[in-house]
Amino acid sequence: MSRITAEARVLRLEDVAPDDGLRAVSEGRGDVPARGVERAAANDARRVLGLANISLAFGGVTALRDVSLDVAEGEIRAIIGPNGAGKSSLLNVVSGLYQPDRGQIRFGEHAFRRVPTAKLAAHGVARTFQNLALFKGLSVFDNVLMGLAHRVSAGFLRQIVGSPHARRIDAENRAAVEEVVSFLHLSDVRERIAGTLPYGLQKRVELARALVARPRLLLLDEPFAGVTLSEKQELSEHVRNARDRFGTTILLIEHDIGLVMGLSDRVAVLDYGRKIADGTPDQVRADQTVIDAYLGVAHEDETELAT
Amino acid sequence: MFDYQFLLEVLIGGLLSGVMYSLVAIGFVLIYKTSGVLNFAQGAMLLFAALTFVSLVERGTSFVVALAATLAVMIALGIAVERAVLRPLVNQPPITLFMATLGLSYIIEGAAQLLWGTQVHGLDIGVSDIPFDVGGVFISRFDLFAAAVAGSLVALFTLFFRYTRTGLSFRAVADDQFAALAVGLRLPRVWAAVWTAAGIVALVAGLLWGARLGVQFSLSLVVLKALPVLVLGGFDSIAGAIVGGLLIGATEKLAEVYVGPLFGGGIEAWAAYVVALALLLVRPSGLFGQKLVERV
Repeated sequence: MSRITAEARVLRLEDVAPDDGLRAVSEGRGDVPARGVERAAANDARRVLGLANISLAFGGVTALRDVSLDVAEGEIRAIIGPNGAGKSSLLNVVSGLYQPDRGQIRFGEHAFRRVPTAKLAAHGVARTFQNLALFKGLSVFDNVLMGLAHRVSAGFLRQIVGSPHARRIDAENRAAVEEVVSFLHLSDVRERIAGTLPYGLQKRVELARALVARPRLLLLDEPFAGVTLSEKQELSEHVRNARDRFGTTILLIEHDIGLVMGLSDRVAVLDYGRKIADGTPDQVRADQTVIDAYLGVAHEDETELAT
Repeated sequence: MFDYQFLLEVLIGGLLSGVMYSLVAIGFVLIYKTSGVLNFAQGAMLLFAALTFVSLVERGTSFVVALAATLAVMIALGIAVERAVLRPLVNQPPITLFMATLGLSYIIEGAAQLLWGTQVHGLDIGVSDIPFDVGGVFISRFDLFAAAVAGSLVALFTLFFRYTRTGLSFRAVADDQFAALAVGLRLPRVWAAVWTAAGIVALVAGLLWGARLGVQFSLSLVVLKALPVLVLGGFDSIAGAIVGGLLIGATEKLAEVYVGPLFGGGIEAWAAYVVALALLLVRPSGLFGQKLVERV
């Protein structure tokens, strides 16, 4: 109760429209934090990621239409939808691979028209890829270590000479890798060449690499695609454990609805580029629009959603 | 009676000169591994380094200062190549990049001669070529020195690749560029570093080859000798470049001495290519090269 009134007071004191910051940004000042953003952040301290009215079209094909979405700190947030619904486009907008035609992306208190991909890691965002982006020729350990590649490292000469500073950084990095590797039960395979592992394990290595830098927000691109049923269960356990242990906020897009419903705190559903539903798994499961989108007409024996 | 001592002498001479081939080949491997570009300009870089060094020394610069200055020039060259050639051509097909390095090789050669002239220079790096007598087998002191230098360079690179973070970045970029981008590695920076490293290798190779052959235009043709080494060892393996170099060096000398007379001599110049061609038919990716396995 008290928190709501506090927020209301902030709003009243500001006497500026809350989306003032948004307009400033959409006037094209790329990655400069917008005016009014600090105040907006005060409104929504627990929001890690906010998408506001994102639209994206490729020529005549509309991939995303006016999609808004927010991701609160520490939650597991899923985006589901049929093929071609715009899930991947949305993820690519969040990670800066696509620039939306309209709308704004906000990480914590920084607002962007287009997300600067190279600085993503610095903003505490990590991602995995649907078809994996592992170094298949390097060991598991080295793969995970590369998850820290973006960090400021000791100078080149210092590395060669092995100065105390370089050694300390090195030791810290190695400790971080060891922790994540054992946390995800990869210790047995830490020296194996990543490309020789089963697909499900490779996915776990990629998860480890994304987690090692302790991101605030972790983007998972179809994490369960192409893995076996038992691997799916394991992997979803690991995702949940990662959230519980490191407090990482997780945004995932996924096909496997049954799994997502069990794993996520909130689920948004996309269809033809529009958001047609957003809520807890139970709300989404009961939503008639969602059922129609997935199944056309809902037959009794086809209620995959209800599992 | 077969003269085993002579055989041994020829073999050792061949292996030691093979080390010199390896040295050139390693320059290729470094760049090929990390950027998928067959850098045809490696020979020109070698010439450029040797010519710069020798010209500085002839103008009265001390050995150490000239070495440091040449090193600085090679580093600048590496960074300039990344800026001016690689960066604008990023994501172009390999053949485009290859053509670019071909053009680059002529530009570097031209620049070297414009800057330092076209005369032949003698280069004395202070190692006399008096043979050692080891149990009746004569071994060239210079060859031994060259092999030691090449060996320590390789050892340094190996340690560097294995134990430093920059080395790990090199290996990562060589392994998968997309994944490297995904974890936020700055590819331009890595490429500049790799070209710098290749420049350092070119400097060392240039000095050794220059001392052997004299510093002159034809030094840039040493690359042609490195090609069979690469075919043999695989384009993406430093170990392969070393073994390939040794094999080619030994084969060349042995062929010249024992098979040469059958053809009236002079086969040293092309025996290596025959070996490389034969191997290509059997193992297209070389002895150590990564075999590409693709799902069909």
